[in-house]
Amino acid sequence: MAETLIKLDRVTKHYRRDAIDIPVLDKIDLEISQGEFLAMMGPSGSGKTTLLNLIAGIDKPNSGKILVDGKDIAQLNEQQLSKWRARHVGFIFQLYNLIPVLSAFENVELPLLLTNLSKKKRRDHVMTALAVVGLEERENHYPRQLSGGQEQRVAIARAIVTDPSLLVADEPTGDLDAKSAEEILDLLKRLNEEFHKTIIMVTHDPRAAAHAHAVIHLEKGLLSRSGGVYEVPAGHH
Amino acid sequence: MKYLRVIIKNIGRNKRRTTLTILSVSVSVFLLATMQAVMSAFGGVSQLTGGEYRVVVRRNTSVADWMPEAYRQKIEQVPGVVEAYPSNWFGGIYKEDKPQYSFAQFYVDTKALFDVQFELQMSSEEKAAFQQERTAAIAGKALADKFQWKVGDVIDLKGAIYPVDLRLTLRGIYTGPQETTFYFHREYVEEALGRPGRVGQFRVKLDSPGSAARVMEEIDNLFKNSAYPTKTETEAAFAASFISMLGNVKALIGGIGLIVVFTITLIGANTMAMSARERVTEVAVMKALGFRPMMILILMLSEAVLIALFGGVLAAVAAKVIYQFVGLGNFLAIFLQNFKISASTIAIALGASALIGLVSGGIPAWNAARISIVDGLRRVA
Repeated sequence: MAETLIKLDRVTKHYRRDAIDIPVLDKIDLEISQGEFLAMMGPSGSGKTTLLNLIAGIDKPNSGKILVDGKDIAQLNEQQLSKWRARHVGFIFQLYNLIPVLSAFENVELPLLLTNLSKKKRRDHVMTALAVVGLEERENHYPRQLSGGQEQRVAIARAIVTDPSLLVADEPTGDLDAKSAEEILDLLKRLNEEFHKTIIMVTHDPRAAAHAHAVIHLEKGLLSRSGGVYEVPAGHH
Repeated sequence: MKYLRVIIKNIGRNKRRTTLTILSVSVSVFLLATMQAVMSAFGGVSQLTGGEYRVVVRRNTSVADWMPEAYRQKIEQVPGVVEAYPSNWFGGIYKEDKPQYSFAQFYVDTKALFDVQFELQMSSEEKAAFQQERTAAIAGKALADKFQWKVGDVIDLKGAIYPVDLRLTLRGIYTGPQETTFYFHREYVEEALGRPGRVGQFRVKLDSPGSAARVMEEIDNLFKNSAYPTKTETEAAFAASFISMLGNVKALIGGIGLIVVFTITLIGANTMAMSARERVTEVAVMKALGFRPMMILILMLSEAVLIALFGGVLAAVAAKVIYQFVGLGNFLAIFLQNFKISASTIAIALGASALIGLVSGGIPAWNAARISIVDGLRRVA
């Protein structure tokens, strides 16, 4: 059985809007194994993205613990969280969120600017990441010169360039046609299987969710899990 | 340095807006540089010309009013005064009544001139030739170069203030800190005018700079109850009051310069705020990738400062070219003999540009640094 990478212990999150308290997540418990590919589904407003944001360290719970690799990230301050995210998390967004004035190469290089790597090493890392997503020939292209699927692949290259253990993907195929979506899902699956990335993917699409090892359903702030406990494939460790 | 490319690319994001912002900053900084150069020219007179050893006596009403010639003897009797000489602005027309032909013309006591204005450097032969010939004149090297005069040239000045035309012969070219003035004999003009004995100003040489305050007070007390009270001031203050004949140019340029700089700072702040608002999601993404708020603040402030500095450099180059190479500087130099775009003026202009960038970019950058990642990402979703 695989080691637990992420453990949520009675995590509660609510927002305040105009003095009204809006509960989003209520005492959520969840364990995600290292190397697991997990899909999160649920109706709009069910708290999927909020849960993803909490696990990725871009939002904080009102109560509860979020243990990632044994560290409670809910206790980290903003500076520590920034550093932690840079090292451990890769982000993939529905609308790709590439910087339009930067080329594909520069977009992928962006997280590496925070490291002490030399220019040459940064270039090596970027070209490796672009090769993984099959876009090494497009390094000088700007986002506007790429198709939606290609933009998302650049975004995935940006997410993996620092070699994080965890990839969080919020509706990564939500803005793509079926063919491009299938390519992106195949790529995510490959990153999971070949590169052993733990992937948490929010999706509305059951076909996308079918690529995951397990699916968790969120509804009215409560969570249910379908799919067995993840077993590490032979040769992963 | 590794962030420079990101900063430059963001500056080029909206080329039209960036260009207009740079131009706006450059116009305001150009005015600021002009103002600074004018200020330096006022302040620089006494420092550059040994003027700390001199004071200037003029009428208390205006530099355009006159005093009796007889004041000279009384002034020279004041303790601390070494020598004084009368000097009048002639203001004649050379060739045509156009700004490019204007220059400072004074008719003076040529014997005392070189003792009091001891910084004027000229060969003893030229000095003697100038002093011996009633229709002789001397010009500063910069002025002679401008009009390509050489010793022996005849220079005609048509009277504009005084009803007399002069034909003068250039007998010498002096060098020194101020090389844009033209001097000729008081005796010649007085005679032509029927000896009215009127003096526009007395240039007074002191025994030491420390005597200045006392001497100025004593001279003014001497004539306080006369029909022609005086105002004695340092050369720098006199230069400033001379300028006031044109209207309060210093205050005008200074006022306009500061207002424009202030306005440009506000416009810059609005531009930077617009730019920051357009990039809320991008900033949120960068923060999600691990960029700390301080880094976001530095990147966005660097953009604002760099844009403003581009404007500052453009302004400095424009000021240098317009005032010194195109020749407008010579026109201004009639009234401000030390007017120039110096290294310190350029440094102040660039410093002001950087400050415009910092102030205009400060609040938008601060706000961008404080963007919540979740809120920033939600704007897209």
